[in-house]
Amino acid sequence: MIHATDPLAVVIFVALVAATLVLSARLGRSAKSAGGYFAAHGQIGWFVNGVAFAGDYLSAASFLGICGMIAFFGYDGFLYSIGYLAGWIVALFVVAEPVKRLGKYTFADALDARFGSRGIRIAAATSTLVVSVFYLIPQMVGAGALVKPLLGVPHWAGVLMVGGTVTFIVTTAGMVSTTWVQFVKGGLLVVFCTVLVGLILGRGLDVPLDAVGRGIPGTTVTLSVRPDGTRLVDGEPLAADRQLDTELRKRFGTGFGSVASLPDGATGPTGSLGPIAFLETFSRSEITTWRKSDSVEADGTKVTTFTAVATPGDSLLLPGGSPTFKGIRADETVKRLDFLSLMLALFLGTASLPHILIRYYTVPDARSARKSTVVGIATIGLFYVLTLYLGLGAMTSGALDPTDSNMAAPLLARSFSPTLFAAISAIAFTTVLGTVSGLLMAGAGAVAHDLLANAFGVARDDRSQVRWGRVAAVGLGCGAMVLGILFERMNVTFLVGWAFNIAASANLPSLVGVLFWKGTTKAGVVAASLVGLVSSLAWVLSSAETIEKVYGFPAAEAAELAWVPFTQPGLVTIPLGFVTLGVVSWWTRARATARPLRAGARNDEAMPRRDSRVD
Amino acid sequence: MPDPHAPDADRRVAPRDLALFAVYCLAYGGFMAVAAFRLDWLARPVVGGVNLAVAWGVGLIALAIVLAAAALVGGRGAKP
Repeated sequence: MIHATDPLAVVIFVALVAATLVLSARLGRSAKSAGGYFAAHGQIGWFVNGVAFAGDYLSAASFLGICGMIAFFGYDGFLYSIGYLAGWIVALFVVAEPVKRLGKYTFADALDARFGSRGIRIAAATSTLVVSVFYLIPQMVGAGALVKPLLGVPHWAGVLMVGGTVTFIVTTAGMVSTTWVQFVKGGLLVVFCTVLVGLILGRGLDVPLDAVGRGIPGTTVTLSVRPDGTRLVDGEPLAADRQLDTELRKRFGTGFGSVASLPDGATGPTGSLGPIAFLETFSRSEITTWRKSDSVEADGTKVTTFTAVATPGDSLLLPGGSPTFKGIRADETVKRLDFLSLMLALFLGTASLPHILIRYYTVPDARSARKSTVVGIATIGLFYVLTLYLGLGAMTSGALDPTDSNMAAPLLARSFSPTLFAAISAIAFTTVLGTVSGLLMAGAGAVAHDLLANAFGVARDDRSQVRWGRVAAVGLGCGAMVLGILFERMNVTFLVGWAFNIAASANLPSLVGVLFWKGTTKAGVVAASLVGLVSSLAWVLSSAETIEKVYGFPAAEAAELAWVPFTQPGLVTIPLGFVTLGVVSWWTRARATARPLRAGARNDEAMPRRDSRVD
Repeated sequence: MPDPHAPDADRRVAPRDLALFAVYCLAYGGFMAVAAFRLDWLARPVVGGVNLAVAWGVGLIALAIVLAAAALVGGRGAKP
């Protein structure tokens, strides 16, 4: 849905883009060598790196997706906040320091440190590219969703603008500019979200006086979209430049999302509330939520009907309110396994994300790696607590766009002031820039350093690696733009869940084996990476949710066509990766031990070696 | 290039870190198990009228920050 353009938002947006591009152009001089381009010379301070971790990690899924999910369904969005942060404990205590000690530019450096194996390089680079692409799609979709209301341009134009800017950042100054963009973005995001939560608590909760706002059960609003694109609200035409929530505010005095009744029959505003009092009051209130149903008429008109439902606040503060997690409120074991599988993947996936792991190479030593992780955890943790208030604040703001959950946070800001909307939208834009630039860097390193230089011996010298890294960044940037346009209608949080599952399945077993088990062999690493990657990817692509949302089958038919019992693969494919690592390593070592060595011959499986690696 | 034959000490996780990690795993795993199999427990009000789901969820985030801070005090990462 096209939203009205705010001139101030445009000014802030353009200023931010200009500042980012100038910064990248200036820093480009310090990224001529591979060390500068891929790892910022390893000279980033731990505090800057820690905040940059937050800038890298707090993606469009975190900001737009989680806030939107909480605003639409309550607690379920917060489950993602919990899982995303928990993953950093694995990163801190298990992989941070060893990865820093063993690697140089890419995730594959650490994985391949003991073996010098082309197979490991190819497997690690492939998984890096697959995970990065799955992570890139929701970022680019989020980019289009953000720029659309900000500049009044269509989704595809927003994706191209963001993609073009990020590609410029990465190709000019690589990890140097990426780090500073992420640092600025991480800092701004947390500061402005704190301000926004302060405003939410200051405003408290209130009951609008009109029928829609009160959410009298059964109140309906119908949005029809004719084949020629004409939109109608309850049968009356809606101007092309007007959004649904604005129309509702004009007709009824409020938009979607409001308090239906306050505790003890109170009718007036509560006034400012403390953080705990806000949650307590919310839980004892009734909130107007809107149940959505879709249908298609004979002439092809798509009709969406929103029906007001007064939902108890305490119900919204429990898991299981969203379509994703509703199974845990039902007595369905398979749905519960799906929930556990996703939470396991979020826990184990963070420490396996290539674009996060490469940030350990931008600090001077292992001590700095740990300190920057701690700063990252504090920054990210604070932000995730804020998401609960942002989501619940949006849910009761009367400013929701019922057709686009990703816009909940920016529209919440607009319910306070257009200036705040402009600022939050611009910061959300930097959110996309920061994360996408990290992903492009991870992908560029995988192509230039792992595949071309180390696996195929094409770009072996320093300058060639930088040159190919830039070419790869441009290629990945273009691919991301195309995917961002194709996947416009996808829920961004859902796709990031896939990326975590695939990363945890493909990367974590191998990484843990290489770091902590002497019995690991290179065949075991390659097998575990490939089995984890292929099995998790196949699982995701053959699940009912994918068949319905990506392939476009009706839900009932998708459930019948699905090859796997639940959507999230981690519960099966992560252990499968570990089992593969163990079995193949044991088998190859047993074979190597049994095979008599000829004098002077090397035993590749039993003896780690260094061979043709390119530094 | 980092040394691929780095001493085992470079790869090993300190026992203290493992203990902190285990504490968090228990807290996180417990929350997941209760959410999946005893959802009614999470509905109980515990702190100032806030239910266990919110308190445990926010508590997990706070615990991560506390453990991260603890990891800097006396941990391997604190040594130069």
